[in-house]
Amino acid sequence: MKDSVKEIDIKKLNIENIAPNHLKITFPNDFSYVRIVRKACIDFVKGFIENENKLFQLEILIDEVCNNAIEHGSPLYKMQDIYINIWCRKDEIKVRIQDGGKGYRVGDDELNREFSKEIIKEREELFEGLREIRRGRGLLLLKELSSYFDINLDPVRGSVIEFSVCPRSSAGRAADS
Amino acid sequence: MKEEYFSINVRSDRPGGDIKIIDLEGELDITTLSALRDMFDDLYENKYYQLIINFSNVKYIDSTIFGLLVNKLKISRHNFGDIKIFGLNEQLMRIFKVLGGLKIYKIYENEKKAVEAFKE
Repeated sequence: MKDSVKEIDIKKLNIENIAPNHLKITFPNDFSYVRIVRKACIDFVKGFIENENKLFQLEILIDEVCNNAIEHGSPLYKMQDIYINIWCRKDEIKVRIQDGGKGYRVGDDELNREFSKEIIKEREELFEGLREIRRGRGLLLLKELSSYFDINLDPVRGSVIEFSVCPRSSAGRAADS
Repeated sequence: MKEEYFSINVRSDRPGGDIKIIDLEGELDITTLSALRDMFDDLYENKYYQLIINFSNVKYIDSTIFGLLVNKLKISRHNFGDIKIFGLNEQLMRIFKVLGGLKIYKIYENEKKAVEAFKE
């Protein structure tokens, strides 16, 4: 049995090298993009982190915050893009992810044009199932694998999660114990 | 853009055996969730609750998949079965540890020991 990534539209993904140590990625509110986003982030950070375990932990954290940003966008609202920024310094890799907020609730006609009822139902079931499955595990990973994190939830303007990892020390918190 | 990166193979420990061994390969993240869920549903529909998961060829697992495995562990145990695990590399072991997996899962060195544990 084989499974594969759902086909994604690469044009909807915007990867910008703002500076040699600053990467910005804008991507749609869709789980299918998470894998390519986290891979792009890790490729960028590779020059700053040599420790494979640290890279793996960072990949896990980026995956978690991306999933979290997508999960908190309601399927009943117009989908907004998600922005992730990474800054790399000698002593700190800092990541900030911001969702676009819920924007505005689309009217029924527009809603029907944008999503068929079946798709809405499917997405609602998916998100319901995910909440049951995830239940705070992403937060636990953030607490244990990052050296700092901050969460600012604003469903209207967009929620922001920031975290940093130290590229050199063996610590997140319990990370390498 | 389309990329294959994940596979599942389910086999028995011996011909006609009740223990099913699930060989996973690749990166397990949210995009593989439904395939894994379907696999478990098939096994449970056919009354297979004694399961062993082989992680030897798994490179990545996120918390969504971990959560799914916890849910399925409850179902297996509720039906007098279990899910046993082998083949976790150092990095995956760390994720299991952070998420509390080492407290709830029985993790074995290899397939033989996991199979034997079902027969004890």
